[in-house]
Amino acid sequence: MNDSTRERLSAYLDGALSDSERRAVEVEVSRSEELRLELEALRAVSTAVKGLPKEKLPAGFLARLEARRAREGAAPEREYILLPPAYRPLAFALSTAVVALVVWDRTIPQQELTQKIGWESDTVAVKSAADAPPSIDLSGKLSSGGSAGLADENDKKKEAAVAAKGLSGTFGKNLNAPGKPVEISEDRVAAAAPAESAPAAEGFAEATGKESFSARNEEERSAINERLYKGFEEEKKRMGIARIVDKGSEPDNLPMGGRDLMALQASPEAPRLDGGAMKAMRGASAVRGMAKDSAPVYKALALKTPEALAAAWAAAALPGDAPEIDFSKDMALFLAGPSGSGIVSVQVRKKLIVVLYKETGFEDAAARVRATPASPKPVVVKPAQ
Amino acid sequence: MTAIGSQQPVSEQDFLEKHSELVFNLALRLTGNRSDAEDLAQDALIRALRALPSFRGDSQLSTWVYRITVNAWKNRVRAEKSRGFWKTISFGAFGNEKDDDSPEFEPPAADAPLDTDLEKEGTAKIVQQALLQLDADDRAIVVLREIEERSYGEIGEVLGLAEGTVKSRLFRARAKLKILLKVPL
Repeated sequence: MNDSTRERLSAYLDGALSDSERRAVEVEVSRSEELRLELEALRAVSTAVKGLPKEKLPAGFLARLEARRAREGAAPEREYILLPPAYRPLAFALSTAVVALVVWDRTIPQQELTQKIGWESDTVAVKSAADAPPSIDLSGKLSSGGSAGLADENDKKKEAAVAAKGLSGTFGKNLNAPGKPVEISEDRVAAAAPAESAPAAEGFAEATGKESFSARNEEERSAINERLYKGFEEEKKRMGIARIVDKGSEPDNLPMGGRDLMALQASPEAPRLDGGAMKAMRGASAVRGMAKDSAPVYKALALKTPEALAAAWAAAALPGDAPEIDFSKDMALFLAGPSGSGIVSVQVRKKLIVVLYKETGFEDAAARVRATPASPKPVVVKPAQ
Repeated sequence: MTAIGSQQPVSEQDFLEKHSELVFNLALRLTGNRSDAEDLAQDALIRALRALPSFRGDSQLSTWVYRITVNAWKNRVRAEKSRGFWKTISFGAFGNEKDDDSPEFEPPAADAPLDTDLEKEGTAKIVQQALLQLDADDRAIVVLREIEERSYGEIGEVLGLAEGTVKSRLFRARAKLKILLKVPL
């Protein structure tokens, strides 16, 4: 028995067959026990459904119907769920505009920054060497192909600017206590940016900083801070920064600004920071606040061009000319720190360059510079015993 | 008073008196519970009253009201299903899909003779639960055929289906009910 036959049985039950079809079915059923049973089964189903009781209208049904009619009569029937069809294009346009604004907000600043900086390849290395003292996490890692004779002019200019900017905010601070390890403060991780791009970048930093923290209530600012701080921590991990200490005795105590970040971006061989990370770092600075009256900042700039050394020298307001360094085979380590201090010795280790310094109380300019074989190693600054 | 084609004018009062209970019972079998049935029936009757002046009498008034009721039900199921918060247990799904909110069907005991115990409320409940396992169109076809005793042509008119489609779908629905109700061969 196929479905066609059973379907005819179903129609037979309903009296929906023609006379000839009906007679044919009756003959088939009389000859087949299977067909008869199937017909009885379908009839039982039909009877079962037909047996469902008819119910009276619930009490008050018509009164409630009239009340509902009155309510719905006052307001025209709505055939849509959210918006009248005429308003949907407008809603679509508005939502598209909002999405575009968000995308623009997240992408344009970074593009502008790249354009204003004018270079993309230079980076700064900030790593913690495995054998580095726990207090220092700055490196002066250089480009591996970086002999002075081979470096192009742009590299030299950038390095010079890095050196000059890095020094400009470092000198004139209180002396560190002898024997105390030097720590690099968060906003002095980097050196500096090229002079011509710094103002524009500062403007950008200010603008984005205000965008993040102005005109928001406390709860929103708190949420932003949390987000930025999380990004900052992730960025630290990505860059290999093991530890960042609170800022030293900086008189201005300003949060990390665009200049510092651009310098970080500009220094050799560190991963590039995207706009989000830069915002995160600025935000983190603002959130954490700055500790005052801590130790002055010392760092050794690893310089690979005479221009860079000259710029560092000038920025530190040191007398005379910088010492001669054969940049074809060496790089210059320049001690950036309070006046009256100088390099005692440089230890070139397998994976690390350690610069030992000493505070003498008088300015010996030449003592700030040491030549060392160019090598892309982290640089650590330690007080000489 | 509303003139209905060539028929005698029908007042809203007459219309409601003749069709309210019919619409409510259809809604009850489609939805499976009185609360949803009342809401659906009122919705359908309000729509019908609103459209009554434009009724041309091309079909029987009852068929026209059935169509309004079934369409209101299907629209409601579709809308609420798409919005995802229609939690009634009374609606099946469209097409061949089963409504996720349909209750678990409890088959009758094997020794329950359906044709003799229909008076019993328990048996009626079992049959109603079995109906709810059918998809929307099949359920409507069964209800219109078995309870409202409409012809294939009228059912097709209500649901917008060809008579042949009604015939084959009714057979498939009965075959499924036969399994659900454990009707012995």
